[in-house]
Amino acid sequence: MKSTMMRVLVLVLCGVVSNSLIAAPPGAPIGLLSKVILDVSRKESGKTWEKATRGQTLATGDMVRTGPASLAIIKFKDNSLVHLREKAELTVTGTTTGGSFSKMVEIQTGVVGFNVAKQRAGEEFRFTSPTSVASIRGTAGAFNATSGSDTLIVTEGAIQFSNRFSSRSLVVNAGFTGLSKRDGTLQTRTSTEQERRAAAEALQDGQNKKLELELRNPQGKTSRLKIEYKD
Amino acid sequence: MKNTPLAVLVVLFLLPVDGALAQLASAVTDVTSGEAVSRTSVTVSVALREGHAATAILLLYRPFGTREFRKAEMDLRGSAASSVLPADVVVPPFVEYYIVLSDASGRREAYPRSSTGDPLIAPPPQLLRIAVKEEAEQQVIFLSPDPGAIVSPGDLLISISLLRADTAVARRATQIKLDDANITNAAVFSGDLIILSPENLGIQLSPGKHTVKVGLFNTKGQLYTASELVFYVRRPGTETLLSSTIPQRGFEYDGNVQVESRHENISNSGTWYNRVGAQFKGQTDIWKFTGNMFVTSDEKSDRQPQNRYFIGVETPWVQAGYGDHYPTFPELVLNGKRVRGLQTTARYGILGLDLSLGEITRSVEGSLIKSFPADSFSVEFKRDSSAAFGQIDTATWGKYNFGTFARKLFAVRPSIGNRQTWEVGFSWLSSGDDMNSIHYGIKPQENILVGTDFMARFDNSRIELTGQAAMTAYNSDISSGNFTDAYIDSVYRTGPEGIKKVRDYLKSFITVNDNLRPLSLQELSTLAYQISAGLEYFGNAFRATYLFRGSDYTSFGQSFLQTDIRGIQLTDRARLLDNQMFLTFGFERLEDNTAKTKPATTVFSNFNAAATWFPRRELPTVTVGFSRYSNDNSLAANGPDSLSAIIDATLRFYVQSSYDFVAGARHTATLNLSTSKRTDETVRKYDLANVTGEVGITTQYAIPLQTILSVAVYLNTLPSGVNRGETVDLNYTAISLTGRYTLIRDVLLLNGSIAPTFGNYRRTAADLGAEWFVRRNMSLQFQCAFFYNDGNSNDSIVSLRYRFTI
Repeated sequence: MKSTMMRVLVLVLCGVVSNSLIAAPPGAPIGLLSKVILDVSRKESGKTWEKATRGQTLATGDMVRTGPASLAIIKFKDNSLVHLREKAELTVTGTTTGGSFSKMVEIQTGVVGFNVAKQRAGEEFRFTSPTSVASIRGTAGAFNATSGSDTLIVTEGAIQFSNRFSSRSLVVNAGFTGLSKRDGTLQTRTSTEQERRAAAEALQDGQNKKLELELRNPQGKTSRLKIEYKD
Repeated sequence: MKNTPLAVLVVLFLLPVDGALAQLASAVTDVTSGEAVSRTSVTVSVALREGHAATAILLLYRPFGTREFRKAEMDLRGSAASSVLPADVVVPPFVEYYIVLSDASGRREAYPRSSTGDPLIAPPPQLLRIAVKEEAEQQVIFLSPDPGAIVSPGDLLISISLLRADTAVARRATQIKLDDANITNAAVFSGDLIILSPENLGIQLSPGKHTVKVGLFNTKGQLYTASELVFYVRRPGTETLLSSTIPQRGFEYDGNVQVESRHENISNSGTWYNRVGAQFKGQTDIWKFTGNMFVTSDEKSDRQPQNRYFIGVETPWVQAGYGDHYPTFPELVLNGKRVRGLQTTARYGILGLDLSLGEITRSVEGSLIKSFPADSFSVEFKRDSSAAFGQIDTATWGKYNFGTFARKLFAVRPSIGNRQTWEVGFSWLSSGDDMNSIHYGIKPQENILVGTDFMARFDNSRIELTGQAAMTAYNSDISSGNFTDAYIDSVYRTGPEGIKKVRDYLKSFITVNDNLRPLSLQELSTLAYQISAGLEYFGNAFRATYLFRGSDYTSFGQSFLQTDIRGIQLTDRARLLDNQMFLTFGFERLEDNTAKTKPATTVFSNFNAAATWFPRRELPTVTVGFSRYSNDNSLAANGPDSLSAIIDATLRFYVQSSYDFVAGARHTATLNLSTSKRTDETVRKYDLANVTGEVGITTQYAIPLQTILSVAVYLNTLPSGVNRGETVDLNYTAISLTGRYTLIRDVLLLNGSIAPTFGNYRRTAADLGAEWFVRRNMSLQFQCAFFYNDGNSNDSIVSLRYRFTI
């Protein structure tokens, strides 16, 4: 009887230990490629680049890049969304602690649009580049990482924006743009119309474009006509 | 379990010691509810220990701000019972409820336990609560396509995340339907993600509207929550959205079977219980088929039916079925009652028809208590003249318990209206006991009802007017049949011809004799009506109701409606601070003595106020509330009518809070504090006091382990029942630790709990269980429980359940 109990105990303990590993297995999906247009590649951690396909899951450490005139949309499993515009490259990371899911997108280069789902207590969505760190909570906008500086355009909510060289940090609110440079400078200013448009475009899926016309009838009443079309 | 109030979690383990096993309420082992979202119906489920003596279970519930509890008969199937709270009572901040169990002898007990008399009249001091959310927390996340998106057939990718699914959800049991076709087997499950590409599977979706439905099930195989997404497919090569086209398909079906065997050792007596349950749904073209069946070894001829069955067919216009069903007519007519028989609902344009026809009580023959020689009859009859006696043979007579007549019911409600902005309905109900169904019965009864109801909504449903009215006739003993002409002539000296005319007209609907009510059409004692107005403007949801229910109002379809009452009910719910603060007020003033036949009129006043704060930041959610219930019939406490005086008031304060935070692991902490004091100023001195404090923490660790720790302290002061004004203390502390561990993800789950109770109740309950998902659609669940009863014999339960889904 005693030995049987010991066996059961050992079995349970083995299960506990093995599950500690199962909780965050290296290949566990943290999101997927929900849209792939033209030249999009994916690189699993420790492997070589290969052509990406729609519906492929992404795990921690996976990289995605887009070629010229190409586009990819990543959906994390909390429904946070990242658009890779053309010639962009990034690495995704995700960790689940209890029911909290924290994500990080490390942008090597290029422009990405983002729309981050409402984050729960303890959750975080973070963009990093060699120059900056942006900590995002339930916001939308665009992040443009270049070798010299990063531009963060915020269209909804507020984002904690930090410079990795100077460790300076500030909050970029909706309608503002944050600029972070390799010399350590970090500043914010009102977004220009061009930047707002660029952020909106960064969130479009690249296939459909919209044309909005204001029509006025002879009585002076106005109405809006929205046309969705494809190039 | 996340949505289960902490009070429920704690109360689960408060089973008493002394004589507990003989009591009905101690049979309740678990009370749970689904996620309660404002203005959405929610199911309350009760788990009972096997071998319970309950033959009927009532759910008594009330929305915030009202005093009266509505009552519904729960669907009792073996050791489980359930009932659906209608959407109109599910309003923030909470719904209060309790359960009343009845046995074959008519004895009633409340759960949570109470010693305040008839539980149908006096609710227990500690009520259960369902916290109601303003909006549903999305447990199913649709990653793609976006809601309402227009996609090309080749671009369509259906992806779903179960990241936010509750821990009670069995993910492998998730069901996915595309246009009502079950496509679960074609989906790829990868961690929290479910991915499906119709094109890759060779599924060709026609241009137009399509729907994805995802059903999440708990480990008991019950539907936990369902989500739906609508998207559109455009015709290849065009940008034009075409009209909806449902793809052709054959016969689609799904179903599940559950088999359970359980052994209980209670009070040193071992018993086996076995049961089988099955549910089926099928669809082809516009035809839908449903069926369910439940067979238990508890089925006995001397009690009301324990087995259940139903089979039905449905088209867009007509739904019909036969078996056990719970028809929903206007509240005054028929609601929350099990009917075994035909059920039909028809809708054609603005015309509608609801019909229910069947048996609400099965006949149970009176049982022989004793037999005696024929010549002893007069002695036995003098000894107990109220008993039933019958001749067994020429030399022997028997004394019997009275049996129960079979009671039939017919209800029909034709209606007209679009049901969105207006509707008018007319109801007819007739019901009566079949006198030939048993030999030994007493006082067979009959009942008829005519009623009407209406609903109108204006200004985008921001104004809503509703009303219903019904008039009943009730005969409390039809055994003597209709009045004879001779009887009328001898008893009714004035206007006998008029009475004969009325008898001749009514006797085809109901038996006319001395036991018929109403006695007169002038007092309208069998009339009931209520009218409500709802206004939703400026962030306020205001509702005003006036109700009247005569003292003799009786509907066999609504046995538990409080009668002899009239008055107003006002509630208002205000949203402030950008929907972060909710203020709720309720005022009610009702009075009885509607027929002016009582020596005094009792006024029931009730005021409730609650404030709930939902901070957007990572701060606790807090609800603070206050209630005052008072009853006063204006008779002096020390006057000549002091024994009839009613002067009492109950004050309640409560604070509820929950807080989600991360500290090493993810936690949800809850705190409930409440105090209530009832002061009875009459000579009865029926004072009550209660203080309850509960803290709990639910933790989800990085390893797949969830724990729930709760501590509750109950301090009660109750009447001793010996001398007036004398009280006794009933204090106890309950600690509960529950754990759920996923040994192999989606394959093997372990659970266990230990719950000691100290103080006036002393006992320790412990249980262990495991659920093994053999396949995605097949599982085995093993559960064993042990109860250490201080001073009594210990009990144990072992059960094995098999579930298969097709």
